[in-house]
Amino acid sequence: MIEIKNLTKVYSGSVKAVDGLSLSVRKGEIFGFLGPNGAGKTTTIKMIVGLLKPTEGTINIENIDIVSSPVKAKMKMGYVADEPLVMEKITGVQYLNLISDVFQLPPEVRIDRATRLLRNFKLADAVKDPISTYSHGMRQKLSLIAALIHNPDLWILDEPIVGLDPESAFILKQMMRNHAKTGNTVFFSTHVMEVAERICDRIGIINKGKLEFVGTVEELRTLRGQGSLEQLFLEVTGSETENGDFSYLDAD
Amino acid sequence: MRLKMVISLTWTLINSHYNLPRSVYHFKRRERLWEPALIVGVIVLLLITMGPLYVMLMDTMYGQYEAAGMLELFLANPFIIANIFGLMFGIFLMISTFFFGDDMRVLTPLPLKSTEVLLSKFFVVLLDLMIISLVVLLPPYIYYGIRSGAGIAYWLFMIAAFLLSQVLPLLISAIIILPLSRIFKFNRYRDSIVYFIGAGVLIASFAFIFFTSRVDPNMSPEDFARIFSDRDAILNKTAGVYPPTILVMRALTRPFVEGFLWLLAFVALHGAALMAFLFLGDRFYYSTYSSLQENYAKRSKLREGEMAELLGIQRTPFSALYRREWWYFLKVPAFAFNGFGNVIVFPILLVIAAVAGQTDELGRLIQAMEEYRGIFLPVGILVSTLAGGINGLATSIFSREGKLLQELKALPVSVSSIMLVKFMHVETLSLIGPLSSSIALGIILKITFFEGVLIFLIGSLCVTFLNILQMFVDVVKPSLKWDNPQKAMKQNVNVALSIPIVFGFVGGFGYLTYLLRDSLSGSLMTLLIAVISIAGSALMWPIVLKRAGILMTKDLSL
Repeated sequence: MIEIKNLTKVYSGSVKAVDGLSLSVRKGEIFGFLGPNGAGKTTTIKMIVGLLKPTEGTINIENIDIVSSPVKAKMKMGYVADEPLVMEKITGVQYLNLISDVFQLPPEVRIDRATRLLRNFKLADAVKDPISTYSHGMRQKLSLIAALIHNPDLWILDEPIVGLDPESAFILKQMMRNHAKTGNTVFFSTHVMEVAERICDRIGIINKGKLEFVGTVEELRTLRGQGSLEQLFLEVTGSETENGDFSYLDAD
Repeated sequence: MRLKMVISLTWTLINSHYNLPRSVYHFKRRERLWEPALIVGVIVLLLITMGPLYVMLMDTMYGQYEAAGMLELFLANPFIIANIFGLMFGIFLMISTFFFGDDMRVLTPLPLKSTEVLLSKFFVVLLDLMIISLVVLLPPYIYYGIRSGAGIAYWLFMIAAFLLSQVLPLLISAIIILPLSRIFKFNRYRDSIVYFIGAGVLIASFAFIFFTSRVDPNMSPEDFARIFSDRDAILNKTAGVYPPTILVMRALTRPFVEGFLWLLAFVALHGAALMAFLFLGDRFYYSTYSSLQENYAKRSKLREGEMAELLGIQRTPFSALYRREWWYFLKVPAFAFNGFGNVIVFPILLVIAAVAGQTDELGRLIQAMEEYRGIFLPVGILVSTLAGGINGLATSIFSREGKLLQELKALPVSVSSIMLVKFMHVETLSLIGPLSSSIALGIILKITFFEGVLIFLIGSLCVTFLNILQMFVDVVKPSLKWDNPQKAMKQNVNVALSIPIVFGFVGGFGYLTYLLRDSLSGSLMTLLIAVISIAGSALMWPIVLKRAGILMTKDLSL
């Protein structure tokens, strides 16, 4: 589904945000993309969805190159950014109509899917209001609905859980499972290790632009020893936080 | 109130408002040096092209007022104009800075007094408005001082009058706005309020121009004679439009002690207005602002089957993007005002000033221009080009997107569709300029219907060419990092570039038309302008498309 080869991104001619990343995400799997802040997760995702241009390497979505055929590749995916990027001035329903029109959804399909998604995410009663009146979580939900309304094969979600209430987060996780079960693909980044551990078929850990690990959580355990994913993650990323002394914060 | 706190806060707000740290950062790293160079270049260009005209205008006016023995009016008129403009823009700037800015979210949790915040924000707006006085007030005042050989008192009082020139209009704006903010809840209904106030200001400006330029037809010759025989009567009649003008005029034209007393009165007026501003600010500003932070979401439930109504129409992707372009334009007042204002106001002002009772003067003016009738057509086309060309929209097609360009980039739509949508939007609006100015010129110059149609059609061709040129500017380097939409329009370097482009085209062809009027007929010049515009558009459009393709694939650090 996603084929990434030797992907490199250099900012301002010197800062290597992603360094020779190669990765295959298969059809029908939920792939969790993990890494500390500034590791290169969002940069990688932005390159996958065509927001950033790779310095080197290729990205293919179902054998379609995102750089040479961006429109065709984008038609295959639904993307939720780490910060909801929606036009605040319009209403939720105007935004959903815009996305549905761009993806050429027939009225009966958009009505059916929007009704269900809005009900699931409890946004139906706000959909006629301007997006500027929405809370952060509501904007996140609207972004999610807009990304899913056209029933894309591939979901690319950058920190989708952040800002969602527990019920919506639960619903989203269920949706992700169902989506993968029906042969589709979910690629998402998260900082919540429990979520990654519970729903991902495979995970990838990126640190300082390099992909440190790709595989199942079990494979990681085999490789690094027993422990929670959080502990293994800290070990893989070389964090020394576990031994940190924070007593100075409460010192007189 | 702590003065140190006010100074520190003002400096911080000024830094944030003008993005100074970013400019200094890039300057130190020798990056983006073209930005200051461009600003200086545009200023120099304007000084070179408009400067001599400005001096000529001042020279003529000074001579006329001196001959009529009414030299005070030479000082009164710029003061009134600067203050009226200050009042008009002040209202918008006050609302946007005081109620729409994001900085209040940072400032309200800090242990600051309302008067400290108010004064600091006031100085930021004042700095913005001083540009009006710098252009409208300072040159004639310096010219007057030099030409009249004014003494030291004049120069001292003139500096004080100049520095205070935008303070009172701004204080008046604030005194009007602060109580209104309590009633209307600005932040909550910000778009409607800005439109409402904008329409009010526009109507008030038109009414002002209409009434001030109107001569009472029932006035007897004796009344005329009485007005013209009394120096003070003329000054009072003119300055009466904005009474503080009288204080400034007297401060600048009377002997030292008397002038000083008038200046003191002028300063005292400011003191009183400042007190009123701080009092009202303390009463209304913080309390209104905090009530605006309360959760006010009032959701309306969906009716049975309403979703089918709301989502029941499918449009083409092109049509959806075109609607998106209009939504964004109309729902951001800064965009709508600049866009509509630039293409409508100029011709309307032309018509109002022309028909507002000065029929004899207009008749004489047209009579004097009759000898140039042969070039009415190309000149009319250039006027209509000017009306539609400087719209600020073409030079901000991508700048206006700001962060939302990411949304556009993520959508599965081709670059050519995006560009066509944006082009059509800009064209729809900017062609109002040629349309309204052909009507205005029809009234003023009494041209034929056919000439009017030609002015509209060829003017539209010229505007199209200039729009494509201006789109190129924004496609190459859009200004996408902004927190206030004004920064995508009025404070955008690209928009400033439209001035040399449009004035260069209009001025260049205007000068050629005048210069060659005996050897090249108006019709031939019209043809030449049309051909150049068509060829220029055909040549530039593919280049603009190519550059847009580069923009949509390159990285945007937003």
